[in-house]
Amino acid sequence: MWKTKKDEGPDPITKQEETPSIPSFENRNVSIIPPKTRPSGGKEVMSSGVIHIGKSVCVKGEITGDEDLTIEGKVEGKIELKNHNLVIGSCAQIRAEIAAKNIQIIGSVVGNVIGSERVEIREVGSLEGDIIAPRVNIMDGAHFKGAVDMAKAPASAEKSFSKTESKISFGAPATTEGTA
Amino acid sequence: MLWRKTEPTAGFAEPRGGERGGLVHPSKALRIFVSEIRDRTSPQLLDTGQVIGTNIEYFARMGCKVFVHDVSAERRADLDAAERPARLVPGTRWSGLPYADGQFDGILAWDLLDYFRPEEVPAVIGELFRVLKNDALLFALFCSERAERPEPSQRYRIVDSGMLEHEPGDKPNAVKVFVTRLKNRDILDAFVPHRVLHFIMLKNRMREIVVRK
Repeated sequence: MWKTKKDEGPDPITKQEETPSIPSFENRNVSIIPPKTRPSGGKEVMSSGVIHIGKSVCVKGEITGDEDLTIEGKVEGKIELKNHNLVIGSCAQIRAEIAAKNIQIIGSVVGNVIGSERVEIREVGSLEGDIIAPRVNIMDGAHFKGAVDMAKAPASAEKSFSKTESKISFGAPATTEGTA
Repeated sequence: MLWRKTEPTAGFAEPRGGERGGLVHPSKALRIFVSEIRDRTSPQLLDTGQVIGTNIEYFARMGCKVFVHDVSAERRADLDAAERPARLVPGTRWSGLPYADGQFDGILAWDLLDYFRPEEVPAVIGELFRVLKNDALLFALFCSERAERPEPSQRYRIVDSGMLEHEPGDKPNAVKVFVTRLKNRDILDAFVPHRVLHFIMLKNRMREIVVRK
């Protein structure tokens, strides 16, 4: 009646080992986090395949990808994640145009945000820019200056995603400070 | 049957019934404002109050493009700043609204005008009406006319189209340090030559008004 542990599928760590890392992901400062507690994150437990840009990383240029992404560092430019989730962590400072499926803002963002499903600004989050998404959740205490448009969300998001490539790349010139 | 239970309208906030300890009261001014905005095509709305996510969502789901510009926070920052802003609304120390003339179908001013000195109020109202379209509406609240008690710092949450919750601000028991207490006649005079659709005193002695440009 009850599933044994073996029935639940392969062990996540084994699965991670079998999955080849993304070939285009050459940048040494960005890593795919295995399903273990991040050493630098302390209490954080990252799920399999979530890409993490750490506190000390600064990226200038364009980030596109086909993976979920968590950013704790600084990004200037553009972030596009086709059908994937983006978390702007509490330490993140973003000056970029952002497009993703679900976007959660806990840190600071300056720029317009397009979510094909949902955009959420948490209590300590800050956004100066416009939001286009079918679902928007702005928590009390959040800082927000801009406009919210839920009416034209799907079309705009699709239009934006149409140019997205399924790879993670950094536009030149890229500035890197430290490692994640 | 004298009454019937109605299903909540899709896209409208669920009643919150003072769950945050605020005063919930019927608001005819809000009802007029909402019904007018709802009937417009692709309306653009400006919310000048504190960021209340449910308020933004309420109007956004109605089809509005909602612009949020917390003037009270900006006002506090302006007063604290040593340097004057580059652009000032004549007759005030306020930098004004960074929007085009006639852009909005409605403005939620909340208690914005309480934060300005009486002599500044006409110029501030002029700036608010500058960004309103002709025939558009402004909704505003004013604190109690009497100064017998400190004016609590509040924020305003829409419960539904005709109900408004006055809930405590970010800090419990906080009061407004600076507040202008306009008399009823002064408020009505300040909105000349615009058309006041509704003006009433609420149970907590605040006044609410809805005005058409």
